Amino acid sequence: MTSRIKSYRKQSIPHYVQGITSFSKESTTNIKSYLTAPILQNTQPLNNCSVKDIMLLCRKEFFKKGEDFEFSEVRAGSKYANQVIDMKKYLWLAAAALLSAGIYFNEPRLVFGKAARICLECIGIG
Amino acid sequence: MAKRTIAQFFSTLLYNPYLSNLTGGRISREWTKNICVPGLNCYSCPAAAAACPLGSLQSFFSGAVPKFPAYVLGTMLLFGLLLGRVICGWACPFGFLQELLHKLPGPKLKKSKLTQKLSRLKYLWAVVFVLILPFAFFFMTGIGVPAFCKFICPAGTLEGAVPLLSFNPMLRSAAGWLTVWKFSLLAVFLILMIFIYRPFCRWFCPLGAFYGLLNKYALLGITVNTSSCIHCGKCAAVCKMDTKIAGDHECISCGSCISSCPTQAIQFHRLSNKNNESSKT
Repeated sequence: MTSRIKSYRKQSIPHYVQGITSFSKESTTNIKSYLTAPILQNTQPLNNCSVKDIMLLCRKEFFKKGEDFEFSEVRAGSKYANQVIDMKKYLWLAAAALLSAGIYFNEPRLVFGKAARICLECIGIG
Repeated sequence: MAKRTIAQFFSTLLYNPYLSNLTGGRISREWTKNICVPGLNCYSCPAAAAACPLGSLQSFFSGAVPKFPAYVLGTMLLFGLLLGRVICGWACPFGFLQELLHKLPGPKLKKSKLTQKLSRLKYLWAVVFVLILPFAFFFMTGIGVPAFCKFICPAGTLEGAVPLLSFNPMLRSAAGWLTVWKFSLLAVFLILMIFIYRPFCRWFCPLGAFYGLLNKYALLGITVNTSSCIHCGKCAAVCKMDTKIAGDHECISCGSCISSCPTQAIQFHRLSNKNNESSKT
């Protein structure tokens, strides 16, 4: 567990601190105090679990107690969020490029040529 | 009547406005057939106004000279990025039919781990019938074949074959073993639809498979706010599709899970109100 936390510590501790302070005023500057947060006092011992699991457990405990909560291990601007945004850009570019190329090479006419005639295969004859 | 049912009804009418053609035994030749619709709707349906993206895609791979389908792929990608599987849930005539038939009384098969595994089959059908077989036929016989339309597509049989064979004696006289196969398959699907929620969409539709891959990049659709999700599983329990969590690649954004979420973490997001902390898992 220690090694996993270390790896998370480098990446996203500031966000955790933000998450922690939003529910615990006895706040914290590192992940250890997060593990000892009051909300988790009555839960099972947290052995061999990831930070993501701890987050989830906290959310469940808050939900049980009917308190407001909102925190996440996924930060705006995080590697995952950026990957999704990058992929989205490439896909939009690909769509635009494919459509433009298709129209340039007069492919709508080919689509029309197929769609305006009865497709014998589609109706089980061809 | 639910908003979604109204949207499905009107999209069906929009895809198929030439209802008077249904008894004419012929199909329309309007300029709108240059355009592909987002949902599965056979272009050989006499009432159809536009082209089926799946049929058009295969028509590029089949014939004497296979071509790269840039226009059709671009259109499908554009629809997928705009709407994802919202198309399946809100604007697919064949999906609408499946939902209507499922409302008929009878025992209903609920989703399970088995059905979730079966839902992966649609990717296999997509690759085999839309990509591999058309080329395989081309290399074997010199002419490619739109294999999915020819051997499986029940939408083509229902929307194209039924009205055309009913009112066109010439076509009827050409019917053979393939017609029998397709009508048998259609009958099986129609019966399954009564007992199973959207069986074709969940396990067979290559178009749904394609849009499913784009679901997390789509501008419209269901999102889960990961900051408040407690993974209670209620969204997946309410959902009739093979989703594991709301908004995943099987989610058709029907919205039935929104009210079931105890932490209000599920939203139907529109265009710009998606933030980075919400994830389409």
